[in-house]
Amino acid sequence: MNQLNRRQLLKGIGAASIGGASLLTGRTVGAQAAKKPKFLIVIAGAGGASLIDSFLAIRASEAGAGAAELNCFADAEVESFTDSPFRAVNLRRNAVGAIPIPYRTDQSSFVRKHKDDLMVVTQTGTSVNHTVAQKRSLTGNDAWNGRTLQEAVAAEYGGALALPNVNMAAGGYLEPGVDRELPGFAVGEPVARPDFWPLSLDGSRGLKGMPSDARLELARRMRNEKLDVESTFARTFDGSERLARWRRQRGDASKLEMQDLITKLNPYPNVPGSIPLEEYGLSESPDGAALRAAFPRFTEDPLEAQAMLAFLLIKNRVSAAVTISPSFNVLLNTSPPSLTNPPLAFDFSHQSHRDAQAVMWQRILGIADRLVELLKAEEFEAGESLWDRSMIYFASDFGRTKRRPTNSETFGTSHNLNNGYAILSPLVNGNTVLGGVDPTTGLTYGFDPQTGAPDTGRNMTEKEIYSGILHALDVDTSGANLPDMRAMRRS
Amino acid sequence: MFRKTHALLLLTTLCFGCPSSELGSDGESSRDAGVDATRDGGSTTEPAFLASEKKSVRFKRNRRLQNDFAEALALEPSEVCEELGTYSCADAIHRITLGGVEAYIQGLNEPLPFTSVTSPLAAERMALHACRERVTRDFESTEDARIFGALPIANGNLSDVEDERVAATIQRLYQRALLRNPTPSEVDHHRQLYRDIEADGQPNAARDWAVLSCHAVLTSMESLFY
Repeated sequence: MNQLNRRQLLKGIGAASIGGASLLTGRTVGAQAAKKPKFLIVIAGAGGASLIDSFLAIRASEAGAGAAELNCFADAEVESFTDSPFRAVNLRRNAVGAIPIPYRTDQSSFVRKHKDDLMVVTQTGTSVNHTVAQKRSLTGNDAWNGRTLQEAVAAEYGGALALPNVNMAAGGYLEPGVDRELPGFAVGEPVARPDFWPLSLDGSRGLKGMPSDARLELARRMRNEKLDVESTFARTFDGSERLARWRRQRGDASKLEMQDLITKLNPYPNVPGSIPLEEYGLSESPDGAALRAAFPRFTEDPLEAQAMLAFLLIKNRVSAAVTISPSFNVLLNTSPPSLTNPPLAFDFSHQSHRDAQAVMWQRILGIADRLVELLKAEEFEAGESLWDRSMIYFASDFGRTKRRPTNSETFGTSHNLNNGYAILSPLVNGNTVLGGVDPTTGLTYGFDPQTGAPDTGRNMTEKEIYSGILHALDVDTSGANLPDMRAMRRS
Repeated sequence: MFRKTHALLLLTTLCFGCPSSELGSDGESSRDAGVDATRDGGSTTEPAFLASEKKSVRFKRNRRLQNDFAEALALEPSEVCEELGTYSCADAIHRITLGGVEAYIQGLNEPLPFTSVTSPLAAERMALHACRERVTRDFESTEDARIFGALPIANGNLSDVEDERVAATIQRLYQRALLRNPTPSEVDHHRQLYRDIEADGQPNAARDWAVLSCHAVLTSMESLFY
C-alpha cells in the first residue's frame, strides 16, 4: 500500500497555505500532530560573537612568537577547567572603549554551571555582510530550500501550537526563510514590543466600554460572511493572495483569543497610573512575579523583556521556536554607571573589540542562564522538564578578525568568516568542543561529523551545522539531503 | 470625432479581451464603476464591477489606518486608539503588527512583507477604540454628532430599526468610512445585526449596534486595504 510520507504531507500543506500563517488549521496531519514538541530558542549574537573571546580563548603563552599581534589574553585572564574543554574569559576594565564605564565579566561561573549541556562547534561562514550572514546562520546558507532553523522546528512541532514561531529579533535574524514548501503556520510571527505585545492577542479585551463578546461575534460574522463577501471591492479583488491571507488570519485570530494569551503572556503587574490593568479589566500572567524577579530590568532592557516572553511562549505551549536578540542601541545607566548594551552590540568590536566582546558575552550568557533556570523549574510531563526538551542556539553573524596592534588591549576588529557557535542543550553532545582553534592564528578548524575528532584540515560549513542542530532536535529532514552530523547529538 | 472613434475602438477591444468570468455578477460588461446595474426588475441595485486581473491590493499599515479612521470618525489621530489610556496603538504598541517600521530600536527598516497572525486583532482594537469614542460623543451630544446622533432611541434600544434615520446613519457611516453609499443589501445586513443584538435582551442595544456597525465597516477588507 502506498502511503504518503511525512515530507509529502508537508508539501501538501505548504502548497495549501503558502505565503501566510494559518493558525491551527490543517495542521493535525499524521506524525506531526503526535510528536511531542521540542523547543528552540535562538539568542542572536548580533554583530558577531567571537568564540576566541569566550569558550575558545587563547592564552598569550600559547600563541607563540606572534602573541603580541594576535587576539589572545594574558594568561591569568583565561580560566581552564579540569573537567571540561571550555575556557572562560574573566575581565575587569575601567572603560568600554571610549565609554568611561567600568565593567567586570565572569564567564567561569557560566561554564561551571552549564558545561554539561554546552557544546561548541566550529564553522567558517560565507558572508561578512551583517544581514546576509545573520540569515545564513539560520538557514545554513539555504541548506534546506531556504528554510530557517526556527521554521523547521515550528513545522515539525508547531502543528498544535497557537504561534509556533515567534521572532523578536531584527535584521537578518528576523527575516523569514524562502522555502515555498514551508507550512504557513510555521512562518515567524514578528514581535517588536514583547512587553505589550500580548495586547494584540485579543480584539477587544482591555478596551473600556465594549459590547459583549457575543455581540462582537455577531458583528464579526456579519462582516466576514456578508460585507466582505458581497462588497464590490472584495469581488473585484477576489483571488488576491493578500486578501486570502487576511481572511485566514482573521479566522485564526479568534482562536488566539480563546486561549486567554492576553493574560498568560502579560508580564506587567497592575500599576495604577502607568499600567492600570485592573481599570481596563486585565490581569497579569500567573508567572508574572517570578519572571519579574528573574528579569528585574525588563521595562528598560528589551532583551530581558524578550526573554520573559520567550519563556512564557514555551511554558504556555504557544511556540516551539522563539528568537531573541540584543539590539544595536546603547543601553546604559548613569547611577551607578553601568553599560548593559554597547552601541552596535557585538559589532562595537570595530571600536573596542575586547571590551565589546566581554560585555556582550556576559549579557547573552546571563540571559541564557536565567532562561535555563526557569525552564528547568517547569515540568513538561512525567518528570521531564521543559529544559530537557529545549535548545539555546547562540547564533552569530560571523567571527572577528584575529589580529591586534602589537600588545594592544584596546583595538578594533573587522568581520571574519571564521568562527563557530555555542549551543546549550541537554540534547546535544555536551561538555564538548567539536573542532578546535589554532593558538598561533586564532583560526578555528573543523571536526569529523561522525566521530567528532578534530580535523585541522577541515572547516565546517553552514549546512553541516544547520543539519546538526535540526537532527539534535529530532527534526525530520527527509528529502532535504542534509549531512548526518552524528557528533553533535548527545549519545 | 477622431477621439470618439478611438475611444469606441478601445472599449470594444477591452470587451472582447475580457472573459465572461471576469465580468460583474450581473453578467453585463458595464465598466463604469459609478453606474448601478439594476437587477431583478429594479428591486435591487448593486454597483457593477470588473474583476481585477492583477488583484493587487495593499494593507494600509499603521499610520494610514490611524489617519483614515480619524478622518472617517472626525477624531484627531491621537484619539483613535491608546492602549491602557496611554500608549499609542499605531505608533507604539501595534506599530509593527500593523505593518509599520521601527528603525531605531528594532532595526526594522522596511515593513514586513505580509500581515501577521495578530494583525487582524490589532486592527480590530484600533477600530473598536475609535468607534466607541465616536459613538460616545455622538450619543452624549447630538448637536455635535457626526454620524450616530439622529438614531431613534428609546430605553437604550432603537425604537424602529426600519426607521429612515437608521438607514441615514448607515449611509453617513459608509460615506465617511468608505467614501461611497451603502448598497441596499448592506443596509439590510446592518439592520439585521441590530435585530440579532437586541434579541439577547441585554441593555444598550442601540449603542452597541452603533459601535459594532462602525467596527464592522472599519475592519472590512475594503477599509483596510487599497
